Amino acid sequence: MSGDAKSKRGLGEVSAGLVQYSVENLVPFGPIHPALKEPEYFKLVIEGERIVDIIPRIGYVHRGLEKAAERRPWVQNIYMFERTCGICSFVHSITYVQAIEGLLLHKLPERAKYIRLIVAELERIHSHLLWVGLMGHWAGFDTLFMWIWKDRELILDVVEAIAGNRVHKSLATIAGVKRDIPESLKPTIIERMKYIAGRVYFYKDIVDTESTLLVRTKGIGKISADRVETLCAVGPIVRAAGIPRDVRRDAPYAAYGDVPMDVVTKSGVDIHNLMQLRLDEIIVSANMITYALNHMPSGEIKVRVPPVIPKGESASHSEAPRGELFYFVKSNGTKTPDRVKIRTPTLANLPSSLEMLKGHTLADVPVVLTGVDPCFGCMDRLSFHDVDSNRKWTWSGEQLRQYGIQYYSKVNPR
Amino acid sequence: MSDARFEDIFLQIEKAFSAVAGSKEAESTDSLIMRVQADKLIEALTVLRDKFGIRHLSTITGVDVGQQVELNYHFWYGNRIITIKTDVPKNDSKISTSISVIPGAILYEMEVRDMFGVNFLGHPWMDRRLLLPESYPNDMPPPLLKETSPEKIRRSLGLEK
Repeated sequence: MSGDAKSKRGLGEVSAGLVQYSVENLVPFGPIHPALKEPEYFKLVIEGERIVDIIPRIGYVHRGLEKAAERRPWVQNIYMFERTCGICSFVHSITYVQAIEGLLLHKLPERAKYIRLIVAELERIHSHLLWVGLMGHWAGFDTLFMWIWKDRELILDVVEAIAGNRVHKSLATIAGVKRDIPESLKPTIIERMKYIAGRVYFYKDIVDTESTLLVRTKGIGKISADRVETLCAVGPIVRAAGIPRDVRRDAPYAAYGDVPMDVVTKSGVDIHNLMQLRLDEIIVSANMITYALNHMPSGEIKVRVPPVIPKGESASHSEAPRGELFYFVKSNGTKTPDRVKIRTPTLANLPSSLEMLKGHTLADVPVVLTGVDPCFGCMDRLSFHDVDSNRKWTWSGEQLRQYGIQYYSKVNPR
Repeated sequence: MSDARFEDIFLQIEKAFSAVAGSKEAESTDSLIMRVQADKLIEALTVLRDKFGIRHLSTITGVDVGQQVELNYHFWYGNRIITIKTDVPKNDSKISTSISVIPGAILYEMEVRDMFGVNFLGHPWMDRRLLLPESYPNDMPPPLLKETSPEKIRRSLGLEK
């Protein structure tokens, strides 16, 4: 990419007057190193310690799934789209099949609806636990990370018992699910939900009282409810801003219309509230799973459908752990789709997360960037440019994490 | 999944759209599809935002429909997905940007530009790629158009004969 800076503008400025940067405070593109986590690249424009602007460049792991889908049969695509994400895989497959079901006249069996809900909520619990644990890691509180990830294993074991796999469940299929949840598994799942809820109350207490965590999270990464809405953000970040928006309640899919649920909201976005909100949502999910298991109707779990999907277009959305996940499907009446479009919640939340960073210090970068639970999560290579001294350098994610911990141990010695 | 609360609003949206030369294309219990001319799009989006408070754009989907690229603006409102469709010609595809009305559209427009070559006039980052690699050949049509195939891209990059 050329260094012609005159035309480059910051993301947050788009709506407000289009402020331009001069040549000297713009960071040139550095080399990319997709090391440990998913690759992602942000250019940070800083003034001393303070972040003025962030310019994103994504697409390093864009593998052309939408194009590939146009050559594969409808059913084969389910398993490909499931691999879009390694954490919230099930919700991808059910949103895709829901879009297809919009073109079919077949009714989804009641029991399949409940199985979809239960597995989707199990996925939400393990995804939220993963995130809260990671948050502890980035803030330098590794004990919390280890505790939480140990508890997360319990959920993954349940998922494995239901689907046969820990991550890619391969459970959803058009107009149904592929495996039933056996009655013998019910007591184990309910017992574990109780245990997880108990643990989550304990973690909520830690998040509220532990001083190292409070100083890293309270008041960090603020964004107003109006900006969140203007930038079309989705998921926990919207609910933390106090807007009760949730696809599960607003446009119920699967069995969500039948199972009682609370939409958790908080009074304003900061990392502390995002942690509390996700922990609260785990408790809500655990209750939903218990209710669904106790009220699951018996019967078929799948309807046979022809391999050719009728002509038409259909859009479908669902509440993934990170927010609204959107699929658009167009069929021209053949065995393969004409067009499939995926919009993942991370893309929708990117503008807001970059705005959350503005005005904070470099030490807050790991915590805030992780704050929206980005599915690319990668800060393995950030390049820095100090506007004051015109110095440029590059850090790995680990170096940045250490810098954050040292910075806060200086300003807040215990 | 229909909800009586929203029925009135959908009727009003239809009426308001006929004022900007829009027309209803399809409706079901969970969706509403409207079509407008490309030059009336910003007007239509402004009506949605100001009159009905609909400002959650889920995404913009481009679809190759032969001579045209069809742009679908999907809004999430209540229990429905409202889709605004508009067409731009494929060989000279440009349309004015919607970020003045919906700032959250900034990355979605870049994605459509990368994948379909649609130029969003007035978008500040139109000279920059978001998803496509820098190595994507400039003489190739954008990847999601039907005339592009993985084999053609590989040949163009010299990876295949």
